[in-house]
Amino acid sequence: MRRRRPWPLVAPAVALVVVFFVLPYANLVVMSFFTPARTRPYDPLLTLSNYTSVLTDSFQWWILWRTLKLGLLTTLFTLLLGYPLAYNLVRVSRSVKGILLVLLISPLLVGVVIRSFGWMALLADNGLINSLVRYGGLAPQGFKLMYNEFGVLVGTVHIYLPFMVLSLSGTLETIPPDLVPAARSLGASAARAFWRVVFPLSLPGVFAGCLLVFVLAVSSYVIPVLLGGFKVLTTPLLVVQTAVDVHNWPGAAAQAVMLFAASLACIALWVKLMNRAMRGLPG
Amino acid sequence: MSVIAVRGLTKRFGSVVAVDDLHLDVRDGELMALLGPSGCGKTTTLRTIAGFEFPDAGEIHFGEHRVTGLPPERRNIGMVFQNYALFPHMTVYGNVAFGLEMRKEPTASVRARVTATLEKVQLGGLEGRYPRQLSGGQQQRAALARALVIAPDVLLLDEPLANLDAKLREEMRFYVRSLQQEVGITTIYVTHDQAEAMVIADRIAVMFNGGIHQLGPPHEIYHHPQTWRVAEFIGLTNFIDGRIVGQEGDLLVLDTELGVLRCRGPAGSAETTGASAQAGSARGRSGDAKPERLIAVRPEAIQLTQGRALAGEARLNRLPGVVRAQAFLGNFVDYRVEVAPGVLLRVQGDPQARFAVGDHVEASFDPAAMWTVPAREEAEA
Repeated sequence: MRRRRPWPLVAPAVALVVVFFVLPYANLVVMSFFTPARTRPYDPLLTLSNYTSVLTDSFQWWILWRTLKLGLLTTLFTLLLGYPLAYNLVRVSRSVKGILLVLLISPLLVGVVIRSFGWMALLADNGLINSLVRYGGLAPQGFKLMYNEFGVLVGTVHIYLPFMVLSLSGTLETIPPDLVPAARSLGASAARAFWRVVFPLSLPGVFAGCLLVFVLAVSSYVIPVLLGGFKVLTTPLLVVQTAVDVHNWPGAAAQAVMLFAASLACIALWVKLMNRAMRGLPG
Repeated sequence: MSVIAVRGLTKRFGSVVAVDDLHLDVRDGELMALLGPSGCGKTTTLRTIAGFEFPDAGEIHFGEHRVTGLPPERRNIGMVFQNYALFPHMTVYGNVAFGLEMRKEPTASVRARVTATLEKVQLGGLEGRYPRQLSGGQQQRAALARALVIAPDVLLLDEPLANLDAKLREEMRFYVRSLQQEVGITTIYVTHDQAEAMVIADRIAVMFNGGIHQLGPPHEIYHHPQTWRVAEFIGLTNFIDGRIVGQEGDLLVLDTELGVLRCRGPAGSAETTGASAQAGSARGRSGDAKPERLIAVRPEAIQLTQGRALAGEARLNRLPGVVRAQAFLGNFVDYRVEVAPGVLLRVQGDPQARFAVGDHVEASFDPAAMWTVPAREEAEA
């Protein structure tokens, strides 16, 4: 049998990625080696000074750590909240599933700005939650729920949860429903049947969901701005400040490359870890 | 030593009664087939016995142990599923060892028992394969090994051969049967395939609408069905409406649209009474008081002749007819004979003497090869 050449079919996608992802990134990388300038984005003089100043700045490292921590915590909480949701989503009847899926995705229909404002109304010092807390006499001062890492985390977890659930339920759907009864018949309790059978088989979904949410969370901009109120700085915020406010485009580019490299390192570690865990899985 | 006793089992799903006051006794070492069309409640019955469903009413005992409320992992059952339900992320060894690991067996003992069981099902040497690397028949045997290695009290099989191709399925029937007898394990086998049930089972429970219509050994189910549903489901049957108008010796005389027919009376089927009495839903006996009956005749019990006098009691039931269709099937010829306007009888005839479409023939049947069941209206009531 002659093998069909796949490239005519993948060409549009490849072109899209090259034009809108590879080229801008290449441009960014090139820019990060140029010299900052006052009157234009950069002077085309090659230099390593952008990197030396970024890499030797402990503030930059601290912000990077905070960004990655936000990504990791968001991933962890969406996984913990999303797994039970996805697990039950694949078990309900078809009609109920349709409704739940629409409910799950409906937050995505409202822009991220509006949803963040929604959280602000809830989390602000004089917001709904604190009003209730004070009214109930739990804490006369109320709680600091916003303009800190907690507020940002609430926002990112909420907004990226659907991505985790969809990715998990996609894998959980493929697990044959008789496997749990089979494990139970062999003497496994419900909990052991889950940990020995369902969870290992759902690892591809865990892998993809975590990857997706982590990447989205570390690069998020609007949520840290609105719910962190510039008190919670992350690398994307810093990049924008450096480029727009300080007008140091090459410096911003170097910061972006640094975040990119750090994310890539995290992802590589994750891929390696999960590949080991998923050895023996079908497909 | 383990005997399965099911008493008054009832299971509802919403307003649907899946199993309705079902009684079932499986003897020690016996293979009991639950046979019936899809939706008859056979799988629900099995899943309730396994503990995957809990009954709305009734009790289940394994030997002296009441297991009604126990979760499946505390019932010591071995179960084989229709799609085998092998764990795809574990090797054959891992699958078969799973039940022993759950029982916290020492590793050395696990290894010995898994190896021995895999040898028994002829899968020695395939321990390191994943289920997806096995053929259908091998997956089937791995599933059997996984269920048997834990030395369960009862073996529950849910349509275990349904996913195999026809030829392999036939081989596996005999294989499953001999394995079950070798192990000597009390087994319930759910199937919708009557031939499978006939080959494999010591006794068959024929189920309709959540209840057992008849329970008995395969030959009894085939030769003495007690309701028209059972007669219709097992093999091919011609039904003739009739009324009992008298008795001649041990023959019933029935008036039918085809004239007077004589049929084996209740005395002729007395041997079935005992076995069917425990099948609570068999409504057969009491129906004798009512004269409306259905006469049932198997296609192979009808003889076709042309102008030749028959000896014996077959003379008693003779119907002239015309061959309307015939199909040669090798070991027999399948005829449709019109014995009255619009009334067609299925006849399986001797391939040596063939009749052509349009031939005038005489269809005769021995009263001993006929039986009556309660008329349809009554059976459905």
